[in-house]
Amino acid sequence: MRAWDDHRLRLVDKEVRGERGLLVFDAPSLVEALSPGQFLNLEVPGRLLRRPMAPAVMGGRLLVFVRGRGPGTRGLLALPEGAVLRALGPLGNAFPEPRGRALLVSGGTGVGPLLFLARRLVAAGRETVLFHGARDASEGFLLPYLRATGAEVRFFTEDGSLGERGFPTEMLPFSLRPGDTVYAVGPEPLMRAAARAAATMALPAYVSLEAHMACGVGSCLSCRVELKSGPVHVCQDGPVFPAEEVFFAETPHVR
Amino acid sequence: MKKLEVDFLGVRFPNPVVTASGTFNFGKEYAHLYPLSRLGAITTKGTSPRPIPGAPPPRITETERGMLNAIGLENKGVEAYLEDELPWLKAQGARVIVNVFGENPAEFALVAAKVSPYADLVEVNLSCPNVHAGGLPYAHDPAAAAEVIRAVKEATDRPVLAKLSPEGPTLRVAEAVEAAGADGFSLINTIRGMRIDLETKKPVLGHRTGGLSGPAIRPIAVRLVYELFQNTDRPILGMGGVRTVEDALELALAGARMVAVGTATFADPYAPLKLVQGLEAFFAGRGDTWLDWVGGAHR
Ligand SMILES: Cc1cc2nc3c(=O)[nH]c(=O)nc-3n(C[C@H](O)[C@H](O)[C@H](O)COP(=O)(O)OP(=O)(O)OC[C@H]3O[C@@H](n4cnc5c(N)ncnc54)[C@H](O)[C@@H]3O)c2cc1C
Ligand SMILES: Cc1cc2nc3c(=O)[nH]c(=O)nc-3n(C[C@H](O)[C@H](O)[C@H](O)COP(=O)(O)O)c2cc1C
Ligand code: FES
Repeated sequence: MRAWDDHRLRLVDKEVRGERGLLVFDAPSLVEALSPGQFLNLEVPGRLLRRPMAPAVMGGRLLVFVRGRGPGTRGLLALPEGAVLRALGPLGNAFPEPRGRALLVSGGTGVGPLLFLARRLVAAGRETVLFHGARDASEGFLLPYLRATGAEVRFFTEDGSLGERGFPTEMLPFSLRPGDTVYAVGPEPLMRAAARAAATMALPAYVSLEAHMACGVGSCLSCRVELKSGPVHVCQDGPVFPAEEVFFAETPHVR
Repeated sequence: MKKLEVDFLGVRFPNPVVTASGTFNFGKEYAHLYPLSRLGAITTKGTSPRPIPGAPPPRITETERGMLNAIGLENKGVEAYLEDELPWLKAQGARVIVNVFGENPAEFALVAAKVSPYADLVEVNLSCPNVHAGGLPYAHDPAAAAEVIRAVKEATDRPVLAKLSPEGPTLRVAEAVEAAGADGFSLINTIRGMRIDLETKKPVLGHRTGGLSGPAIRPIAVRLVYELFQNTDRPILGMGGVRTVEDALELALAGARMVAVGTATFADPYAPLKLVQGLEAFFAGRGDTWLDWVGGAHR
């Protein structure tokens, strides 16, 4: 994997729907180096610390899906087109290869790394199914991006206002077959449910964990998480981990 | 560049820019960006006799012009660093300031003795809790701090820096540790603060409180370095929110012979190198040197 550095990004397009949005960056020095699952530590103008974001690469551009939750993410959503930022990357590990068919389950901003993975897998001729769970039709703007991956796409909304009604993880067990590999990125309940479905059939599953980060590169030790096998630092050892290693909290955590 | 050269306690540093303990680990993460020997020195992550797992998450949160951290002194213990990190760091040609701590004076001394072969200077973190005083930091108790410094001085032949906290009776601690043999000082460590989440109505950090660092604390660093300089002839390594050439020069005027860059490295991993380059550019066009600025505010 390519060593990380500080790269220059330029915001060339954005699509914001309330607290959710997609930022499209020109980042020639970075797009070639990134693998699905890896993340960036993204500068937010006016803020002291950078913010970790796991993007997708599509059409030679960098796609960052953002949910506004605090000053950092809201600052990103408010960026004017043409804004220039710095980003450290590529950081962290990447998703391992699937054994057979790949089943991807995304929710919220987890869509970034998973549509990147879907695109790469389809390009490599791997059979790929991408489930995405949204609260309502306001995430419909994601559909063209999901479809552009070439994967089989199943779009769910909690209220049934677009696509299938319900949670993607309710349907997942009916779609799993022996030999599949599961990848889940999103709110913790989604990752937990996907991990359980995979475990029931003894299928390998991978999730991407979040932690509060300062450096993003392994020096500050702020991102430590306890796994079943012991402690890890999410920015260096992750963010992708085998699901069976993870202690999932019972409290919902919205990504 | 000769104009930046500093003699600090008999050690020659090519420039006065140092990384702050806990913000650069042992340097490996950054070694592919620039030669670590380009910096004045690397100060390593606080090291104790045994591994310490540290505090529960979240461990950091941003504040106005600063950040709070409660890493909880996580480190792998001195043996691991003697094997994997310190020999490697020395082999990079870097000058090394090793930051040490323990639960009691004997533990501080043990770590100091073990790291001495790799240390140009030993920095003693007096902000860590004194287990025998109910967890009150050594930095709050001049007598206990002096005991630590005395033990460390006996254990190492390297010059010893007492790292002072901006909390507690800073100047009285400085006086006590100087009498106990401290060769120099570094300051400031972080200042405890708290953030509470309006939604959960609970403190944001797992440890509840955390140490404030970054630009928000820089005026406090300038004030304390200034006051300490008036009270001692020993050299001072100043830190707290330093990022720019102006920040470094202001601390020099207050009395800092060298300066450390901490939190700024999280915003920009090139920050320490850029400060070296910025100082080189600043002094290139001038007749004076870095050392001419040190303590300048007192003349
Ligand atoms: C590897 C990785 C990839 C990520 N990818 C994306 C992405 O593609 N899109 C996206 O919108 N977000 C992503 N996140 C989460 C994002 O980094 C945080 O939401 C952001 O840092 C919060 O900053 P803020 O200033 O907006 O909020 P703050 O005011 O700092 O916090 C608001 C809320 O978010 C929580 N939070 C803060 N920092 C983090 C963090 N680093 N991880 C998890 N929760 C946090 C806080 O506990 C609080 O509840 C990712 C996080 C990681 C670790
Ligand atoms: C994440 C983090 C970890 C730190 N760890 C240590 C440590 O192990 N030992 C120590 O003496 N100081 C530690 N410090 C304090 C710094 O070395 C420095 O004194 C302080 O942060 C002020 O400088 P700054 O504002 O430039 O960061 C730490 C600071 C931060 C932000
Ligand atoms: S974010 Fe600094 S070590 Fe992981």
